[in-house]
Amino acid sequence: MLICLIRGVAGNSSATSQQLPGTVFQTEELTIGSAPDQQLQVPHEDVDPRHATLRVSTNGRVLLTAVSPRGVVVNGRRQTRVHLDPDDTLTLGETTVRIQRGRGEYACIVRIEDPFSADESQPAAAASTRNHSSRYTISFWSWTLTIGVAAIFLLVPIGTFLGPSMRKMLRSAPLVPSDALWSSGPLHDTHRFIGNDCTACHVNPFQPVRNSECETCHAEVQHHVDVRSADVKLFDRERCAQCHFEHKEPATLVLRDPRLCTDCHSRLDELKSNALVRDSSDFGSNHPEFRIAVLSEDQIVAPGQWRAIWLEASKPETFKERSHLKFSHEQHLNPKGIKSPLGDRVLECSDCHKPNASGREMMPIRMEIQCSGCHSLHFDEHDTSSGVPHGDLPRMFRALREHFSRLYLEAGSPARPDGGMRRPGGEARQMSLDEQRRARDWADTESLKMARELLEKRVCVDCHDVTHVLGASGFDQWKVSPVRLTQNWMPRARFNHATHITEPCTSCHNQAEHSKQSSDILMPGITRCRECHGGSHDSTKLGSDCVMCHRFHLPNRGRFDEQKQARLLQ
Amino acid sequence: MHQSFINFRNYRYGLIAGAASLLCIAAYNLDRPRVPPNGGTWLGYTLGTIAALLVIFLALFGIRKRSFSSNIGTALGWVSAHVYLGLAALLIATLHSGMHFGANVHTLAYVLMCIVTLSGCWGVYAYISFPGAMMNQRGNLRRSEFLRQIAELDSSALELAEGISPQMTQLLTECARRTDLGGGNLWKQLRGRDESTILMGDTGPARGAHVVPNTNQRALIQTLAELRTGGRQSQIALSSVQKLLGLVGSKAALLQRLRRETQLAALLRIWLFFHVPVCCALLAALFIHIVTVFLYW
Repeated sequence: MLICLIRGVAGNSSATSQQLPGTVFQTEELTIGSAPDQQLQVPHEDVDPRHATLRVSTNGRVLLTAVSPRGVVVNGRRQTRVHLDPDDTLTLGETTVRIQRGRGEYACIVRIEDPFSADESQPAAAASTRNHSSRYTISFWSWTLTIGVAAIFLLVPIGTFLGPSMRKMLRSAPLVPSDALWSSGPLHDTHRFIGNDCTACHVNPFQPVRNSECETCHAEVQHHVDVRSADVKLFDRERCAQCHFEHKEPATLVLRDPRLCTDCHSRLDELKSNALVRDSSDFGSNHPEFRIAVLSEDQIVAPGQWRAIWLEASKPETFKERSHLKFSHEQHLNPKGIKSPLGDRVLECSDCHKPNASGREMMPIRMEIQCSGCHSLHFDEHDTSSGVPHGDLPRMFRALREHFSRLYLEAGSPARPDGGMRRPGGEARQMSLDEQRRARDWADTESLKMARELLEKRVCVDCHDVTHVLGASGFDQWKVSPVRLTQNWMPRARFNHATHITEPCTSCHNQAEHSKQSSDILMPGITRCRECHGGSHDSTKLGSDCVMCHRFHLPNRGRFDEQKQARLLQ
Repeated sequence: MHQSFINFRNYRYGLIAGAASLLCIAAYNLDRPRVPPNGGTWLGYTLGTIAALLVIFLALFGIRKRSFSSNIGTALGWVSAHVYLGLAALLIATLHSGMHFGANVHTLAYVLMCIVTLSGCWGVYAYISFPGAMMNQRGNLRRSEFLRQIAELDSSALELAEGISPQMTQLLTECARRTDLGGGNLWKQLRGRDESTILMGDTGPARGAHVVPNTNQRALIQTLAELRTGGRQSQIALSSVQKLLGLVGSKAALLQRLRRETQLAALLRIWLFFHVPVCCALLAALFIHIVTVFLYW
């Protein structure tokens, strides 16, 4: 198929057609565009590099197909695909292309009328570096990106405010932008279960999360002060989120900055008149000496009642535990050993002081567990069943009387009139009343004698304060002071023995090996702690903030519930 | 000393931006917030506000540079401030973020800011180095003079060709028409490849013409060289062909310089295709960032 292109200058077509021979292409499809590799090249800003094609069929019909989305203007109308008739005119930029009926061997003749002549062929358009023809201009990209960002990150996610069903749809559908895109960071592990339900906590738009949202789950969290006291007013502006910080990295649910505590605790005197706690601002440089809470028996108001009293090491005359126990650590920790049923034994702290299951605290000292291995309560060394019970005087006396009564009844009792000898062939007979009274008297006398020995000379008196009751006699004449050992010496602080296990006990309880009295308090002072622990910003020691040892939410203070507190205070 | 946007008024904006940056870095390092450093502390809010205002100021440059009649500062001063404060803005925004990043609109705004700043840095580099290189290519000629010279070469060649044969005239006419002058879309300008073609084999109707690549006018030069050595030409025609070869060679050299110059001009413009659209997206992301931070306070 031969297609002939004849170029001419607009308005002078006949002349140029004679001057220049036509260009003949042997093809069925003629390419039209501004690129130099196009068979019909029209360099113009309005013409794409590959703009259109002309397909000539064997019957001479010409089909114009626009490759460019801009189409081709045919006879003044923009077309994308059209069959051309002879004398149809295409407008490409400033060039006019006229289709002519094929003649002779030419299936089609295409006459091109350029606006400029061949010798002024400077194709300014080909050199143009302006980019008018491209749709992808800077402003196109600007609008596309801006609208795209606005749609993905604001317009679609804001649909979560259009109702629960829309909210659920947006949040659950994969790859659909939701308000999760507004999250400034991941939730703490403990809150992961909330998922992307932002409005679970962020209930009111443009308002910080309220305490009541936290209390939905954390209803039982206790306050820092007694909610029935006026102190609670000091906290009326405090928000949970001030100390419990979410959506930030590193994920720390409890903020450890000391100022959260020291804002008040460095000036408690200004805030309240009857501050029991002394001011502190930094563990390393400004923290009061530890006060020790020791159990003490009330002697005046409610005798027999025990309560914790606070003692200070700076007042040695009162810095004593009054547990009513006689005990010498020095004696028990004698490096040469201490007498035991199995001979002399060298004791270690851990022989008596055993950690509980968590390892944090020590188990309570119990006579039956820690002491009875050596401190036997057997009063008759020839009789292994002769023990008395511990901790209960009436039961002890009953046990003694049972023991001596049995002894009387059994053969061999020296108190019987027959010398305790039963002759061969003699028959067992019922005791007479007189005999019974004699037996009771003998058992009572022997029991009392043994009780006196146990309570006043050996066994009980070794460890206990035994006093005589004025004017009383018999078994009522003795009183053993009850023993209460302090278990929690620093109830306002948390100490974990397990994390300090690399240190020997005496590293902190360094007076234990020289303590002769049970009244000695062997708790370490702050100086000992400060050998390793520094202030929160100490770079040479273990930085220790307030919450390392202290807690904000204290037991039995009442719920951290604003409304409830308000009600209580009214 | 020549005053450019770099050393405008003795580096006035460089010093202002540097001092502001140092001040912000010092504040960031001295600040001891109760929470890990983030955009929500008082310093975070302050740095964020400064950075946001800077971004808006930097975006205003897009308006100012089109307002030729504006008297608000000189255009050079605005460029200088734009460059230096733009760098400071990224640094301040980084401090504002507290180095917390995630898959969210806040980090999107930061990433867009990085892209805008980086493309801006490329722009600075381009504006410092390319105009000089373009001058070297053009040799103190204006672009239009370049094109005029090429057109003159073309018309001289056509005059010579008319003395040789009509075919030669048509060959050279089509060759001039199909010469790639380096224009076209931005991608083509950037690539700088000579896509010139020539119509060959158009001597008889039976054969038909075909389009042949004519990179650096090589195909034309080869055709002319073959004619010269073909021996079937008259003496006059031979000298015309010889002259033609000279003209085409000059044109090829001119074209190469023009194309390189066009390429540099395109490189000088391409970064704006990132800088401006991403800046618009950044303004949108920044707005959403500010709104949503307080929406879910």
